[in-house]
Amino acid sequence: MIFSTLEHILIHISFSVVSLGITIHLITLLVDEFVELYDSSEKGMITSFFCITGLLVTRWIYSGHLPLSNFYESLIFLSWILSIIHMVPYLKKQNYLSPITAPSTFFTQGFATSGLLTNMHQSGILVPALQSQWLMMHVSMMVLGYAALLCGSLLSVALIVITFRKVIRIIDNDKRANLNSFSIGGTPYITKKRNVLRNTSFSFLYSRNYYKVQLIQQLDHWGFRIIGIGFLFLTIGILSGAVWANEAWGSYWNWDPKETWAFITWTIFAIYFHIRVNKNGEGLNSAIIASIGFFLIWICYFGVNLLGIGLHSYGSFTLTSN
Amino acid sequence: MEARRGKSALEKPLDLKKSTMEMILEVESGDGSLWSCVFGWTTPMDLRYRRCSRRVVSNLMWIGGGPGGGDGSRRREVKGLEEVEEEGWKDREWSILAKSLRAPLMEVLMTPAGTLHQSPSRLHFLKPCHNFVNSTFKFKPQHLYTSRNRSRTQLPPPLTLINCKLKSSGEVMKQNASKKIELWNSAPPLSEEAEKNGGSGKEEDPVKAGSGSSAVSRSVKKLSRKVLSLLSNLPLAIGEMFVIAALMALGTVIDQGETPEYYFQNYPEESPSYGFITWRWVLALGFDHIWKFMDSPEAVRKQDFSETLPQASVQDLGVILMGSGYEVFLKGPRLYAFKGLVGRYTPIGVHLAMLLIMVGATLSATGSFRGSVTVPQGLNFVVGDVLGPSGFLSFPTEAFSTEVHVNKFSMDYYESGETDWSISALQVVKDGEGPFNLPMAPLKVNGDKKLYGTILPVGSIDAPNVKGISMLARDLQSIVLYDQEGKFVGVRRPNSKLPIEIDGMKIIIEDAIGSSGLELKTDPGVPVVYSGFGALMLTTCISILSHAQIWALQDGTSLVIGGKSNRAKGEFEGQINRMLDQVPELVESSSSSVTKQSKDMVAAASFTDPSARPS
Repeated sequence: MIFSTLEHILIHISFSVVSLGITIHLITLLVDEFVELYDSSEKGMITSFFCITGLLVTRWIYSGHLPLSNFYESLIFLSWILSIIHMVPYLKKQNYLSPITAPSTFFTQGFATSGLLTNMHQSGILVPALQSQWLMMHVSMMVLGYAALLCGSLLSVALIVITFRKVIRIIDNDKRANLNSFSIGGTPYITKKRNVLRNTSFSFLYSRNYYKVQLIQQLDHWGFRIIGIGFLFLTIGILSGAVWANEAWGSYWNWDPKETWAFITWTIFAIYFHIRVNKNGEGLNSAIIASIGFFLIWICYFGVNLLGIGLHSYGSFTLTSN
Repeated sequence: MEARRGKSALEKPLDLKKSTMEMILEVESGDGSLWSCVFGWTTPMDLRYRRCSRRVVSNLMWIGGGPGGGDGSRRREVKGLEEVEEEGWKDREWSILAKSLRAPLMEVLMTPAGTLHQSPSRLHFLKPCHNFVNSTFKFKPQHLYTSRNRSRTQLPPPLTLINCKLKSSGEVMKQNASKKIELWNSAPPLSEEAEKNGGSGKEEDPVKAGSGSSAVSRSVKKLSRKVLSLLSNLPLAIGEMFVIAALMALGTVIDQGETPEYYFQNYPEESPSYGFITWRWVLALGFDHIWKFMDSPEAVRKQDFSETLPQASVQDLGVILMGSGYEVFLKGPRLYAFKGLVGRYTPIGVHLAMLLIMVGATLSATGSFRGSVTVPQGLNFVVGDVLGPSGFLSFPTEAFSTEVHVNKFSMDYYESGETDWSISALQVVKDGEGPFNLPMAPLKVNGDKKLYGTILPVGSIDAPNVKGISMLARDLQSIVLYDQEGKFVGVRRPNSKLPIEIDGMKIIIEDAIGSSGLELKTDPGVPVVYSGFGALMLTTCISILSHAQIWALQDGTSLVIGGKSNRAKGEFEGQINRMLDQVPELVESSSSSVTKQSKDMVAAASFTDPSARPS
């Protein structure tokens, strides 16, 4: 009883702290800056990290197995990993990932603790098929891989949005026929606009904002690195899952829906890497592929469970509201 | 007049290692100087050269050709070849011509396959060697007129052809060594390929080869090269991967492995079958040319990251790079350095590991045995009887004749008692007789719990209503007994050995026997697949490491540096910048050679041997 109260407290603390941190960050961005609170989101994430660590340790002690046996627990684990990913670049003083990871943590925790999944909140007994040393390695690697790939694909989505923001603004400005207020440099901007609408390559950017080009390059670069790490973990997770399946279910690949969708996700990110081999594949094209990957990860992680079939079915559940 | 030939930094010598044949055109220009231009051609598949050659040939044709043929819109009226016009040509235009004429030719100009077309006016500039050429090579003029309309106005007037020599590459080398041409200052860089002069020609000489077997071998070689380049096409690989992903997604939606009737029922036509195997082609990551020195500042500047240091020497850079952990190769003014070689070859390792996995999976699919059996406790079964082959490579091994004896079937219970099991039999002793094994059957109940029941018939079995003592078991711990009328009598635990009196019979429940269901499988591909897994994990880990390459070129007094890295691009730039900050700047107080070089330009400084000085 004490454990479940403790869990309750911890999860609520972490959730509220993260939401506070994000709110402050948004206020800083949009409205005004509170100088005393400039570091608040970082500290908030650190607090949340410790809370979730406490939560996981509690569940582990209480139930005797690593807390990764059902969807709720893996969501908590995912938000834990995301908070770690948030903190690592912070220690290196580069905060490109923080706008991605902090809201992701927030949303995963929110979903986990929402009313949709309350029937999974109790820590239960492991199904016999899951009682294995492999549980720790396979599931944790998969969730690590998902977390990193989610970050990377969200960065790519950000890249696409930033790339096309100018075009959207230009289109809007054309419609409003309000050319003068938009052009900062005077006529050169106006005359170049026609070209922008016609070609979609990156070349028009170089005549524009230098900082924006730098930002896009940095996003691209960071997305590449983190997707590389995520891909590595996903590979290890899939392969260890196959080895475990060979022991537990008789063969290492059973075309189970969850396995298959994990493989599809793997293939899409392999395509991402192969597109980046060419110079002109970098940037926008690879970002598009990575954003497709975002949806695939959610299908693989979440959607397949809704189907309720296959060998991974102990992760399945029905969405009920209480 | 002595014809001299040399190279500038802009024009690149031919890659005579690859060329099979060479043609030297010696032409006399308008101002009387004699130019000899060397053409060589390489294999047909080299697309880079093809683009060049169209322009070359168009220049030539335009120079020497007459009206008629091709797309008339782009032609320009040219004079006959015999006339030489002096139009005050600038060196610059000559340089453009000479450069384009030097570009290696392709089969577009000389191919064994095309057909020679008529009008001598078009080709009369090649008259002196016409018969030579005609006997072994043909032309494909339809390509010749499709060039781009590029700076026509700049091109020189027709040249007088002096002679035309066909040479094999060996002789050419000797000739080239003696001829040098001094060139101009600042012709703009056109897009060029790296061609190397020197090196030996190919072994066989197509001129002498003629026809017959070598033509066949040539075509086979051509075909295999074509196939290889088709296969290593990157967009093709990406497209294939998309197809694989889409098929897999489809496979989760459509149920796999069911009987055909299921599919006929649910889907009007055939479905993809269970466990299709796909193959992928190996993506060659450019390791046919591992690395080479870069021979011109333009090529060096074309790298991802490039920088020019105004007063520096290449040796200093080499020393600094070595200090930072690079492997440095220095040759004359050129430098190549790399770091982290393993990061370059691990993608190959990744693909090899995947191939290994696929080989193993094929082996599994064709060579494995499967079977399942339910064996009650205490009984045996022979392994070989149970398994059935699954493919044409399934060979039974000696292990198949072993007999497996089920010793004990036991279950560990949690407090809530949730596990999956089945009861096979109940062992009873009746009135001291027995023990009898009464098989138990599962009974249908609503909900999740299981119920097994059996009956010990009393009286004659052949009677219409067979009555007996029913025994029900929800688990192996306790058996519930009912008498003939179905009234509850009692509960017994199997190990207690307590008798129970029912209808005058003394029943002792000896044991409730669980049966274990076993799935058996032998799979020869598993070790291969596991090793493939291990290799894949390892190589994917390593491929995150970055591999960096740096080229540098001593360009007069300045040093042109270019580099690229395949992973850590952001940090790479910072690293290189820091290293370049350390390169000492040379302050030259007195060197006449420096000033002379800077005047005479780029060309001679880079490539000619130091002894040759431009006059």
